[in-house]
Amino acid sequence: MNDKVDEMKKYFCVLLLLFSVVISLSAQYSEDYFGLSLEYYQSNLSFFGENEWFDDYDISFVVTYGPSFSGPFRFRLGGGVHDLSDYYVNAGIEFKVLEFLNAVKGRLFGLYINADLKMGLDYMDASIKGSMYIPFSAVGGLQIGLGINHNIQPSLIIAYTGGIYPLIMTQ
Amino acid sequence: MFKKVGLVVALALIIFAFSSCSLVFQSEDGNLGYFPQASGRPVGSFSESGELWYLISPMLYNFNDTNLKLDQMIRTGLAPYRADFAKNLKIIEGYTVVDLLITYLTGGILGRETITVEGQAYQQ
Repeated sequence: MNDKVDEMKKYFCVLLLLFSVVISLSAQYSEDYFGLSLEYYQSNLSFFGENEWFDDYDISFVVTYGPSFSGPFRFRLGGGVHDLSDYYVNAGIEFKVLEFLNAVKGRLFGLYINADLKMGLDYMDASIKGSMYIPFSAVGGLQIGLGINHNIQPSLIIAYTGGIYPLIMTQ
Repeated sequence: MFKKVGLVVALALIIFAFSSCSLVFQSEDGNLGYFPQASGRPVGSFSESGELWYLISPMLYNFNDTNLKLDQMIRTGLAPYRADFAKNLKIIEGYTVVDLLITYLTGGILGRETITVEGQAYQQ
């Protein structure tokens, strides 16, 4: 019983500390979100068999823009290459399920759902993915997620992402 | 096992949370003060910014100590008004879009952030 109380105390302290950081935000930051993402996307993922990690994969670079009027939705636009041979354009939407910000309005933690459409001359893919963001600096971190594509194939995404609500310079 | 992982994650979150907000702000000449009773007439407001370049984290190693030279920014802000002192100072730390690009493209190893000091200029 005492162990459980101690554990709850620890988690309460953690939440309190996180909350104290979040509420210390300044009003001088933009309300528009701006982000960058370098993504590795593996479709045809197998949970039980062996995966061929460098077969049927995409590497994309995506810019994410979240204007204040769009609420939890952000727009994604970028491009990439499939199997290092077929180039495509990538457009999509990111839905912010849960997001905590740090003191400089970078992301501290986040859960997202992304819907993407990739279209090239010889390649097309549509997918929806759920992902989790883990920071390793004030503005950048790793985003890992699972999803499904238009062929109902499971997919994995690993991304190096950075994003902030940028500081507005008032000169 | 899950408890340990949970605690490690929680600890990591706290470190990340405070990694960018524990900078010390001070003046180089020791004249950064708070004098609410100081009298004078307001002659305008100013906003001065400085870049802070760092390795990995501003707390770990920073190249130009912008956070420790707030007096220089305040003096620069006061100069156009020939003002004697400043009130209502506000220090803001953050990343512009260019800061994000630099920090992101170097993988966070070399980073840049922006420190802004805003306030009102007063003449005695």
